[in-house]
Amino acid sequence: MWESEALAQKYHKILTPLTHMRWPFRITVGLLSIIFLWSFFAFGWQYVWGLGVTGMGHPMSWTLYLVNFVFFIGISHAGTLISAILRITNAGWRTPITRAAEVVTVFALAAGPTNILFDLGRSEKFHWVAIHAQFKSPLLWDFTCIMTYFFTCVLFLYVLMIPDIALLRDRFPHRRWVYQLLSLGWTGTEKQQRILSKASAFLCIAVIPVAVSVHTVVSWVFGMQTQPMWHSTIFAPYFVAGAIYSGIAAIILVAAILRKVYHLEDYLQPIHFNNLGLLLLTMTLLWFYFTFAEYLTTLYGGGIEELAVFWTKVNGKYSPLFWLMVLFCFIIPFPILALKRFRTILGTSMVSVSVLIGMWLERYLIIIPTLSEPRLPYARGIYTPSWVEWSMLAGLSAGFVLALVLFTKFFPIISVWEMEKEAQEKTKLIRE
Amino acid sequence: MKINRRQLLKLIGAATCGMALPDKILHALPKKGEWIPYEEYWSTGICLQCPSGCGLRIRSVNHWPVKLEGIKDFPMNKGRLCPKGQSGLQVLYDPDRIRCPLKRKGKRGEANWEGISWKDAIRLITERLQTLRQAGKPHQLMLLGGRTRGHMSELMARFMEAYGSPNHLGNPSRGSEGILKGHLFTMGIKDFLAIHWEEVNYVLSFGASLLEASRPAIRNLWGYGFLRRGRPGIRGKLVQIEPRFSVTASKADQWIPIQPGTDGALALGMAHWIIKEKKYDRTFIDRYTFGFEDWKDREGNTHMGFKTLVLKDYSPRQVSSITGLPEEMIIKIASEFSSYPPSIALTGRGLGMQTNGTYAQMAVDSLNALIGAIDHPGGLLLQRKPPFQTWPAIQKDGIAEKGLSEVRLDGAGTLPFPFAEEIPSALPEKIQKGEPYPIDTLLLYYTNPLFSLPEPEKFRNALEKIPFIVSFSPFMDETTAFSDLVLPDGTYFERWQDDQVEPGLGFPMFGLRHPALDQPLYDTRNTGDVIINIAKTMGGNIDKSFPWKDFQGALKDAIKGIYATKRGSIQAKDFDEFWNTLIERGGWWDPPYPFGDWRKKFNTPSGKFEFYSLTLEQGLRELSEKSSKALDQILKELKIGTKGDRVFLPHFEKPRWIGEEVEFPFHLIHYKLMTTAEGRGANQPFLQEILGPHLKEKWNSWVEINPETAEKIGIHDGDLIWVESKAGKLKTKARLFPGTHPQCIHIPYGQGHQAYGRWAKSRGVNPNELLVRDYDHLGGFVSYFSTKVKVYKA
Amino acid sequence: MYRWGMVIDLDKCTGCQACVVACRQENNIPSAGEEEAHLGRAKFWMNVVSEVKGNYPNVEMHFLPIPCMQCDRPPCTMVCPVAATYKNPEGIVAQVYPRCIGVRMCISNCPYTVRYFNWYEPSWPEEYQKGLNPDVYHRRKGITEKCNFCIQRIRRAKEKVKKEKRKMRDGEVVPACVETCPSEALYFGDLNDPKSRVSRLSKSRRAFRLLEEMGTEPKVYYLKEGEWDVGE
Ligand SMILES: Nc1nc2c(c(=O)[nH]1)N[C@H]1C(S)=C(S)[C@@H](COP(=O)(O)OP(=O)(O)OC[C@H]3O[C@@H](n4cnc5c(=O)[nH]c(N)nc54)[C@H](O)[C@@H]3O)O[C@H]1N2
Ligand SMILES: Nc1nc2c(c(=O)[nH]1)N[C@H]1C(S)=C(S)[C@@H](COP(=O)(O)OP(=O)(O)OC[C@H]3O[C@@H](n4cnc5c(=O)[nH]c(N)nc54)[C@H](O)[C@@H]3O)O[C@H]1N2
Ligand code: SF4
Ligand code: SF4
Ligand code: SF4
Ligand code: SF4
Ligand code: SF4
Ligand SMILES: [Mo]
Repeated sequence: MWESEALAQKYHKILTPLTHMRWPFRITVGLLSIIFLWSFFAFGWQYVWGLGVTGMGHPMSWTLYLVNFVFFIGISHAGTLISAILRITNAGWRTPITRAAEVVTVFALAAGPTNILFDLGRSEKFHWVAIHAQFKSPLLWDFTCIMTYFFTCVLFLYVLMIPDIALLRDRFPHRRWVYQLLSLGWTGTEKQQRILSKASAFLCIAVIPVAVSVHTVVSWVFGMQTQPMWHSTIFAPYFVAGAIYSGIAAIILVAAILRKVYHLEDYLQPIHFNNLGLLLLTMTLLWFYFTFAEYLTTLYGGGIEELAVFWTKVNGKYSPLFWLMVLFCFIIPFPILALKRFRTILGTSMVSVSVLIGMWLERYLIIIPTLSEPRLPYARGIYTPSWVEWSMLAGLSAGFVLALVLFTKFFPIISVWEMEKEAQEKTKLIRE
Repeated sequence: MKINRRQLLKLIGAATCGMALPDKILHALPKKGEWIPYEEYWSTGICLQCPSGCGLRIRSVNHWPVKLEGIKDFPMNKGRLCPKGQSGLQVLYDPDRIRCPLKRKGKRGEANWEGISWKDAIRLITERLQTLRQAGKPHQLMLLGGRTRGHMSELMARFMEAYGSPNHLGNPSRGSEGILKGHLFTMGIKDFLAIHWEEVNYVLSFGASLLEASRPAIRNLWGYGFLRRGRPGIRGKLVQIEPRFSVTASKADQWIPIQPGTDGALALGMAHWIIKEKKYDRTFIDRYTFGFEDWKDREGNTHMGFKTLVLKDYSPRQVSSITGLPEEMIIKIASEFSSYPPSIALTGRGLGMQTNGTYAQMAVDSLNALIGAIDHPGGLLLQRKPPFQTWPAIQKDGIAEKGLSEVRLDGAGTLPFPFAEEIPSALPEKIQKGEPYPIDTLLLYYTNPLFSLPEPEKFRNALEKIPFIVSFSPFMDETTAFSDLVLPDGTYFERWQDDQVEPGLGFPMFGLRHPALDQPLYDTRNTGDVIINIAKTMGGNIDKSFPWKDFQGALKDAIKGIYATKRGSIQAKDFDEFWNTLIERGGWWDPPYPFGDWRKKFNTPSGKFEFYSLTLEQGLRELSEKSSKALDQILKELKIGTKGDRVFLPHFEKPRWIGEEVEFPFHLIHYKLMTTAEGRGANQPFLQEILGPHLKEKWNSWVEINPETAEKIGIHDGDLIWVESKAGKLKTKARLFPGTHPQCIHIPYGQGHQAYGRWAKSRGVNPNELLVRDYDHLGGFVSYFSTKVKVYKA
Repeated sequence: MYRWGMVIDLDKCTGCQACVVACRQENNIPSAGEEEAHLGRAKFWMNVVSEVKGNYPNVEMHFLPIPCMQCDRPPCTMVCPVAATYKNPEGIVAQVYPRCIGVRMCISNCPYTVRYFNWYEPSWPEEYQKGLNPDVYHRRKGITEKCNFCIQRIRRAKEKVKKEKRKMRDGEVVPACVETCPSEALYFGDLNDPKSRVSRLSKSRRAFRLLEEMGTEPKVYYLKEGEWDVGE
């Protein structure tokens, strides 16, 4: 049982962003909206003229949109998955970052599959995937998993936000009707508390396999195909690890920015970044391990067709991107994260940027070189993304950030009730 | 075009995906509106994307042709079409076709036209021709023809003769004169020879581009397949002698990259070995040839025979140093050639269109004669002609007689081109100077000299001197764009025309085009009809020379002769039935080929195959008498580098190159691709998009360079480079191609149009802009392959 | 039941590409134009590819016509999320154009890279449109297409045969490419009929299939160049 007035006093720093809208905020929102809206224009352009306005062709028929799809789905792994794991393992330091992580997940999950919509030759027939479903297609598995994951994550985020929404309902009378609706009449009774903790416990467990399945299946979209360097059993864990890797990086970055912008230094402390940094370090090593294993296997036993792809990546026309990827995904992150001295807020943020770029490149390099060197050595392609594709990437990223920014204006980005609960538990412990 | 002639099929057209769909999928299909009934019928026609004259079955839907196939029993193509034939509808439907008669409005070449009616157009041209004639200058009318087919040549010739001008250039075999001149001097024949693919075992090709160009293209493609797999247990051998690694070379069992211009020497070197080893056909040589052994003339002078000459001058060693080929190789092919009959030696423009082309062709003819490969199963066949009825005699009045007595402007038939029938490439200077007289009016039919002849710029300047130019082309090509009046012909789907193919399959045959549409697509008229129309309007003797209503009438007149023989593939009770059947079947043919008819066919003074050409000897002697010049003087003017009996025997003349070795190190080889429809294919997107399959090139031009040579001069694959000759320079893309002789570069012919519609215009380069004109004076033709070039990075 | 198959004799094939043009005219495939062709937007249901190797003067050049292999175990059909492509009872891997939504997974999963996509609304100059074949479906932008053994011709021939109450003769129905091939390098027919030309040729010692090791079981057979096979 919390007293809303007192809570608001105590956590005013978390709640301030909800009330203050100064010019940096307005400018940010304005800029992001322009980019976001521009991508609507780009999409309209593409919709009217056809996919010919992209850089795609024969045989390069799956390109940037697919890269972005895999990338955003990857990011979505951070949040809920991590938050769930941390909750289950009851990692004490998690509380201030879980909400942010969950939000990142939800929005990334909204952004990811949108790319498929862009990529469809006939976007207006998107729903046919559901209507005329053919279950032999990995795309369908994908569709199913992503939808499940998306709804689970929204639920997860929402359920764990109910007490905070109730708080807001009491604090912001002029937005009352929204919060009223969303708070589901939460008053914080014992019974409600019990239901909440049960629900969250259930969701924590449920979300993990779903999350794992999502990226597994995304990997199968490629892995189930017979193309050289796609048809690989390692793809599922490789993709999941990569997803978590980029996901954590995204959270670190988001947390660092929020901390700075919203002055949340009291809540988001170096320890959080240190711990997340350690997690990231683990993933760096895991990523390196998978990549190494994947490429070595190809080099060692790969057939002509596999090797053709291998060499374009390592030594051919894609090698600059390949080595940049190694740089961004391993060479930069590893030493910084390994040394405690550098595992600072700045250090981990920089690493996160590097990892995000690196992981995007990784997706690019998984998809594009394979298509440019298909099995029969006759169809060969070049691919340069067109302005439309870049616009869509920009718009999507802008939309993603915009959604995050707007979220912080309506909901506390740090879970107030969980902070309070934790604090109370702590004092209780001390008293006893 | 009457419905009853067609095999009319009312169909419920199926514009669905056309599959037996499982029910569960059907619900995704559109419910209605996709099934459109249509009316379909098939008619016949003759392709004219190249001179092979393939029979077409045209599928029309609701009056519009939609697909072309070959006529199944048409001997030339047996139901097949090459890629150009298949893309023919893009000729018919070319959006840039000329749609009505045009009169020039602005300056020449400004593309400023005014559409006029046919009535006005015909009046315009007839008035001009009348005036010219009345001024007593009918010879100042010139007709430049090109891809004339069947009786169109005769109709044109008739018009020019009745009008009174000797200046008719209308050779449909332009560009291959070397081959014809060789045949003329050895066999007295004015046609190409057919290949008897059905039985040949060993094919030795001296640059015959069998699988990319050659005559007749489709028959040779088929022949190749047949040679390989047509007869169980036999897989014939193909040897390709060519500096360029062509598609033919790639499919051959052996490629012999010869030094350009030296094929004649190789043939003689082979002859040397065959004679020395006594592997030749004694009987054939004894009975049907002249000049093999040394011989005595009526005055008792001994003349050198082929045998002596060859044994003396063309040992494999001597030939090896000329051709750059190892001695053993020469011996090996000579031995194979004479050991696995039936063998055959073929030639193409690469051998013929050199400064020594005539002699080189004579050498190869002799090679065939040596092993008796002429008019023999598995050998070369002497093309028989259909027994057309000759048209009534031409009526000439005094003006015509006087005009015809003038010398030809192009100088054909006089020194230095005594044996030429026409030399279009010699025109620029003559027209420019107006000597011996100026040209007043030029008619252009089916030819585009501003694109297809070397040094087109010079031709353009000359055209400036001609006050009035009329083009009959349905397309705005370079030369038409430079004309004053356009009287557009229909395409080959829209007109009546016969088509005799030379060579075909040896036996007499011809195809018949008739309009495949009820009406021409646009306001165009068959040039044949237009000529008759003009003749009628002119009146007098000219009118009387054309006693037909239209060209179809003239054709019927000729074809009656065939009906009268009661021979061949069509038997009918009356001419009408014959005519209708002819239209239905697309042509008439009269197999089988009568082998071994040598005596009747060698049209030489000796009545035999002449190793020692009496035709040539007599011709030169007469010339000497007429011009009162000594033979030696004449030989000098003809640039023949030898004397005595050798002049009349096949021998190797050193080829002349234009451009010094040091400055211009490369031979420029230009070639036709299977997708090149002469100068006419560039306006067809289907062909543009598959242009050069060997290098995956499309929609453009390129130069093939030997990779090692390229490395030496710092050129990489795909670089833009300059190719420069004494005549000009061109910039295009370099492609490293290992099938390039280190001393050659290759540029495909067909691109580089400055006009000819949206698809052709300003695309790629035209090698003719590099070619400098030199001649084989004896044969009387421009040597297309004499230009040397240099290349450097742009 | 028919099981349609094709045999391509590489010893006879001259790389002339008549098959390519015939296919495009028959199936209303527009040319892409220069820029689009260079971006890989040209559609070649039948594609003649080449290989040049060696150094002067020991050069080799080979041509290979590639239509859809009409795999008996087609990797392309499985992956389509809406079953817009499927193997029909006669073994033809067909495309249900109106159902295709254009995800192109079938394209990326075809090991022979013979599926083509409509990057734009297909277009012809107005004049060319008169020459379109009314028997084939108009594919709009955003959908995938491929060689279907000229299914419209087969369907028509079957209708005829049914009306005349008889069996189809070997060679009675041929696709446009087979019909035109000047050197008679292409054969088409029923692989279920042991006496058909294609059946016999497919058992030739020269016969092979592309990427046989993938287990896709193509119904397009190639005959090797060069050596004589008495078994034909
Ligand atoms: N596809 C297609 N077929 C055609 C035509 C067409 O336009 N397209 N046109 C038709 C016409 S009008 C003609 S005249 C014929 C022409 O048919 P061909 O004469 O057979 O072929 P071209 O390509 O004109 O001739 C040039 C060839 O000669 C070779 N060559 C060059 N120099 C030499 C040399 O010194 N020695 C030897 N041995 N070879 C040399 C070149 O490599 C090149 O392949 O084709 C006819 N068939
Ligand atoms: N460099 C180089 N030059 C060459 C050759 C080469 O290999 N290399 N080849 C040479 C050879 S062998 C030849 S035969 C010549 C051919 O050269 P040309 O005799 O000039 O023939 P084309 O260029 O094929 O076409 C001539 C014109 O005919 C017109 N035309 C098209 N269809 C019709 C029609 O239906 N009716 C009428 N009335 N006109 C029509 C078009 O305007 C076209 O421009 O080129 C020669 N030039
Ligand atoms: S060979 Fe010549 S005539 Fe025959 S189809 Fe080809 S282009 Fe037409
Ligand atoms: S048409 Fe025949 S010969 Fe020509 S490329 Fe096609 S398969 Fe080969
Ligand atoms: S070749 Fe490709 S498109 Fe054709 S059936 Fe096989 S997998 Fe499908
Ligand atoms: S492009 Fe069409 S056929 Fe191919 S997978 Fe997608 S929906 Fe299926
Ligand atoms: S079978 Fe028909 S659809 Fe397939 S390549 Fe041949 S012509 Fe084209
Ligand atoms: Mo020619």
